[in-house]
Amino acid sequence: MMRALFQTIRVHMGLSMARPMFQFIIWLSPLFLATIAIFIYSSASPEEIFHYVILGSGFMALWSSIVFSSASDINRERFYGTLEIIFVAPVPFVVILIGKIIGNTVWGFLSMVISFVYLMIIFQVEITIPNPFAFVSAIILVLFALIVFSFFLSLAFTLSRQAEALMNFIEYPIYLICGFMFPVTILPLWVQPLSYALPPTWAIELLRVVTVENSTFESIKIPLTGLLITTMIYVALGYSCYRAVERKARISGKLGVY
Amino acid sequence: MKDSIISVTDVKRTYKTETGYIKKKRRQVDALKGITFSVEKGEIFGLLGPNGAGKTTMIKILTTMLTPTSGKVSILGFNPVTEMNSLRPHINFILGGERNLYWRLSAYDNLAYFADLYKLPRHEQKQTIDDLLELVGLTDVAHQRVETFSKGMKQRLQIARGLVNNPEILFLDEPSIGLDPVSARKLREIIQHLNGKGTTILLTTHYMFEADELCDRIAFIDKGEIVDIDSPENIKQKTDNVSIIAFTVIGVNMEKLNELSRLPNVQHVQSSKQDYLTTIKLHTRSPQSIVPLIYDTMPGFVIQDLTITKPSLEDVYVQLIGGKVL
Amino acid sequence: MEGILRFARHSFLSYKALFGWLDPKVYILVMVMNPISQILFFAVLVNYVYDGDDLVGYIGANALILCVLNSVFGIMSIITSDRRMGTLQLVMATPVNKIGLFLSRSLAHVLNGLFTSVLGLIFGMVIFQITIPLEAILPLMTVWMVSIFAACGLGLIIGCFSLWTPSMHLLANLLASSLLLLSGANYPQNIMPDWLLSFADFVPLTKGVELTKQLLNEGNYSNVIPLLSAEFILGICYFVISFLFLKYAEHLSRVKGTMDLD
Repeated sequence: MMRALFQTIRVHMGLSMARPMFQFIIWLSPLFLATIAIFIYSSASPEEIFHYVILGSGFMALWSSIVFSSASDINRERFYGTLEIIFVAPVPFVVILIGKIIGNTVWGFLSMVISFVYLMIIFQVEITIPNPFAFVSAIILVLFALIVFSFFLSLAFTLSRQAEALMNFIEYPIYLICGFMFPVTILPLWVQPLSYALPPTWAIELLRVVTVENSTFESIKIPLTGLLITTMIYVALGYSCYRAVERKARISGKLGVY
Repeated sequence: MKDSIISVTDVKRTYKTETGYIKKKRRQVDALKGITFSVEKGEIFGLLGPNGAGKTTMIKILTTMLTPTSGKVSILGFNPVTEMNSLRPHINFILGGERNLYWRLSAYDNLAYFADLYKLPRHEQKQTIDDLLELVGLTDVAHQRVETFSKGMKQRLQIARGLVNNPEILFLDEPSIGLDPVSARKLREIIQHLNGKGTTILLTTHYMFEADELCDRIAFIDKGEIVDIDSPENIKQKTDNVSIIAFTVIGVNMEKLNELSRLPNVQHVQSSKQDYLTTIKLHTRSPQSIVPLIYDTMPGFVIQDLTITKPSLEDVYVQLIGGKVL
Repeated sequence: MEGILRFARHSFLSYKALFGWLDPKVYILVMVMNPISQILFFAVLVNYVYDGDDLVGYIGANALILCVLNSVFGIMSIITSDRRMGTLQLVMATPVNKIGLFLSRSLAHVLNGLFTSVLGLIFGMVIFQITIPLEAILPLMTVWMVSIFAACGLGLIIGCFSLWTPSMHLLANLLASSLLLLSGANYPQNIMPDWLLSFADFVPLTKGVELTKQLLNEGNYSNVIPLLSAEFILGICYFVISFLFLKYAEHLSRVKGTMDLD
């Protein structure tokens, strides 16, 4: 099973990168986003720059890679008519799907790192991480949360035909609602519940508080709990979507043609 | 001799391709190696040949889409290389297959669009388009999007598109490829109807019966050269006294085929295999004497469906292109 | 008259035939929701960072940038779609004047781009409760029209590249992102390093964005004539270059036989 998972990750990473659109998203897009962000925040404090330029554009890069890969991978397989083949393969579909998502997330993380390095080298932005252990742990948790969220999105998009069209347009709305480049608190009050229902909001918040100098467990507690709870919710949602997709495929046999 | 409105003299076309960036590999392909023919006004002229023979290259040259490497071409008195702007309004062409139409537009809009491109006066357009839709039998679906059409309907719309400028010469490249038999017959009817109204037609095909049924004259083309030009009847005449003995057997090998070809008076042997059955055709002038020899040559084989017929155009084609008249 | 009618119908029919987003549902998603979410994101961002300073100008500039949907992605389709459908070779073999043909095809996208930008502006005005002076409307529309025309010219050049390369997604997104970055829609232009600024001078929309800010923030009309003339000339140059590319492609296809327009 693990072998199948690693094999999927490896193969899928190659497949994704073969698409020119994905190459753009991973290698070039972060440079543009980071440059625009640093120009906008050119006269801000180092802390703001770290929170909103570095983490913000890094997260935008990560998110874009999810939108343009994981969210649409099932639909792409359907388009090429390979979905049924995968579904009846001896390896469970869920393993293949998770493998794909992990593969894309690895690329997305790389894209985020590119954005960090670019800002450090070209714009001489200093990145100081007071507690590396906490930061690395937070990153791992964040990536896990995003994998769960991608898993849900990928299946939800499979269930509805309308969602397929929607998929391409959740890039900016998520940048906006999850407060990648500014605090969520500046958004209108009625939007904020939606923000807090989405794992990326808590994820970026966690990374922000974890990198504040002399951050305490008290300050980390809230975003950490928020991230854990939303992630659990999306595990449940993802599971029920998976069941629904499976039903659709096995019982009504409608996976290939809607 | 009537006026020839297409004349092609010793036309050659070579493609030079370069592959690789560092170590450039130059390759030269001779698609046409000196083609000469002429087409008379009002004729249906067929270019026949296997894939890669140079038919499409020839059509592209005639329709101004490609220039010949050397040789002379004259169409309606124009040189398609230098006088393409004067020539283009008088000709049109139809390519086989389902593409080459705007699927998101209706049939009517497709025709209106190309009517504009061929600078048809707007006051004439409506009547012309209605007539064309009528001709190809698409009047009822004139305002439906092409993407809802069947293959045959798309092909018929292609024909209508090729006629928007009321061309004096119409070129068709493999017009019936992939069509079901009914649509293909409808297509042949339309072509004959157009020809009846005086349109000169030049078509390429590799369906023999189609060429046989439609064409006044046929040019066999193979590996960029013309093998023979004549009317279908004359071509068949050339093999006047030849008969074809056809039969099927199970499990025959090369050795046996060679043995058959060495029989006296056998000119040519062809064989085609379908599943485990092999169909063998012998070209000969004295079928009666050959038939017993076949049984003698192939003891133990079950020989089925033995027939003796006059050669079809296809048999002639195979003989010409196959080249080995024994 | 007949020529004008033909030009207009051609523009409309090719738009319908080649631009896949005319289906109302898809149009609303791609051509309305997408630009609106983009302008909303940047407007909220700059409003926060600059504390509301010059917000009208930034919203106007961001609205103008939205035209890339047509001036990059839309205009490309007049070559890429035509080729994919196998109609490009038919069109190229008709007696029609090819320059007029591609200009008329571009026209629909200039107008659609203007429509998208205006839509974005109106949306931004409603959400952020801002107004623009009545007398600024006509100059602003003129500026936008010319700027979008120039952007379409550059888009057409990129569209021509589709005859050589299959990586159109990459090129188109690269161009769209470059326009967003270089135009300075979200920051004062002088923040950019000098070398980037001098590069931005040859990119469409830069001058349009600058004029939009000047018109809306300062009520300054004095630079309209010089900057707009420069933008217009830039646009003409782009179109000329793209026609040269098309001519070259036709030459490769017809004489050399190394390009297949089908």
